[in-house]
Amino acid sequence: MDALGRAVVRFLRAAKAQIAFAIISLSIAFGKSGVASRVVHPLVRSQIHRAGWRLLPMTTFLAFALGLVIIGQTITLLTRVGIQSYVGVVMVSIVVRELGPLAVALLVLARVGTAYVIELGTARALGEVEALEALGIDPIHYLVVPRVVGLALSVFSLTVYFILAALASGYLFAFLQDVPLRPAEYFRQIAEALTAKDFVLLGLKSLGFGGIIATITCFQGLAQPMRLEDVAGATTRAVVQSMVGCVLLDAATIGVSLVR
Amino acid sequence: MQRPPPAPETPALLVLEHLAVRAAGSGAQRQIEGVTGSIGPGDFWVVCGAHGSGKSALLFTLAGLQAPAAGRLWSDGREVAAFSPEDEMRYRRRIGLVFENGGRLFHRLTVLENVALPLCYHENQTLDEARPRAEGLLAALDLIEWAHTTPGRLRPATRPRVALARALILQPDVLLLDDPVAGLDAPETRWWRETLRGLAAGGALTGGRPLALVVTTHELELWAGVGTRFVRLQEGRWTPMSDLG
Repeated sequence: MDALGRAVVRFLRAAKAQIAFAIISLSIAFGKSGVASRVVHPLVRSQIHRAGWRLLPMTTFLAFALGLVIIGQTITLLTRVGIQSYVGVVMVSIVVRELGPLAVALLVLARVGTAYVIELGTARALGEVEALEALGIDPIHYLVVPRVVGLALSVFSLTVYFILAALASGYLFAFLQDVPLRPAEYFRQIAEALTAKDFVLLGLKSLGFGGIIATITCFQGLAQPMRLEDVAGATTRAVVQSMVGCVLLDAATIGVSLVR
Repeated sequence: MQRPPPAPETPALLVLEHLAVRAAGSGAQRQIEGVTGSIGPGDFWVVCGAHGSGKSALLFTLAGLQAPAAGRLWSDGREVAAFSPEDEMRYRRRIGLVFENGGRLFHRLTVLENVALPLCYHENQTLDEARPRAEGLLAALDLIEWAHTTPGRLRPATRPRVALARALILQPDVLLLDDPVAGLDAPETRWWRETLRGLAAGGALTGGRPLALVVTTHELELWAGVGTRFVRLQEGRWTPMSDLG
């Protein structure tokens, strides 16, 4: 019981520190939106290029793999038992509401989030953060805000792309399997299954996943004194906490989507 | 109630009133006590102490990176501890700091980007707009051939020079240097002595405006004939010495 209690207290402390860090980062993002825009805006663009554009090939591969393996199988199965009319509902439930945003978030966490911890942790360990402060440059404004904004926008964009690619590849698989389902019928079912709430929640969820991953990885890299040998441990912590954060947000959006 | 310090003979940029400095990152543990004096344009302080005597912590305190454990630090008649966050950032722009051991350059940026960054950030300029001033400074400090090199590829002796250029780009009033010649050979040490003497006297690099300098060292003799005030840190005490020059 003691161990469980300590774990809960540790979790709550970590959550409190990270929520405080997120609030500070947000207040600086809004409070300094016009400050050094010619430095910060290019940094945001470079983060979008890094976390969005450069991940397109990997996202495409994952989306097609998911479409072929999971969606194709689902369509085939539904067709065999004669309930093709539920294809759209199943696709929207699996791909649009759940799998798409989460798969992209995990991909971005693995490829970019871990790199953030290493970069920022190394900068912290080498004293570069103090050098920024000595120059009157706010480290949150210069290092964290571009990453949070860039990653949130990247995860959102990649999620939309991922969903479209997965749905298209799923149909391709079904077509190759001679499933009697015309494209117009397939996409009509998907369109009918989608509601306005799905679009809103998809947007909020994917932006939230990006924000959570960026905030936690930046927090782990920056928010505590660090030596070079601590960077590996901080990276592991950041990955675990980001996954927990994303799953919690996912659970919250499921709860909201169930409210009529 | 803030009490302005007594009017100094020359216009003081910084007034140190019985400051106690805490060791960097150690919480409340005091490392130096009784730091008193005023720093004005053209002053060249040399602070000597052994490793771990608190030299770096003193510069961090003067730069506003850590609060003093006791006493007061005044800038232009206002106590630094009472500054708003905006005033604090303005204060830091007026104080240039060259860190020890290579100057803590930003390892992912080139030398030019390192030097131009403060200018780009504070004056909202693109790199192209900041380039003439940054390149001018690099040329004056014999660094222009390294402009597009990242710090990791520089000779160890070149890195502190880049850190000096970065500290000078915002045209500070006070320049703090943490053991800048540690580990350097005689010609390089000579270059630093002459360059810093020129900065204190108001040379071309500062447009004729004399800077106030505080240099820490573990070899006082290196700065004989250059410094105007000498202080020794020993067992946590601030001990001013007579002019070695």
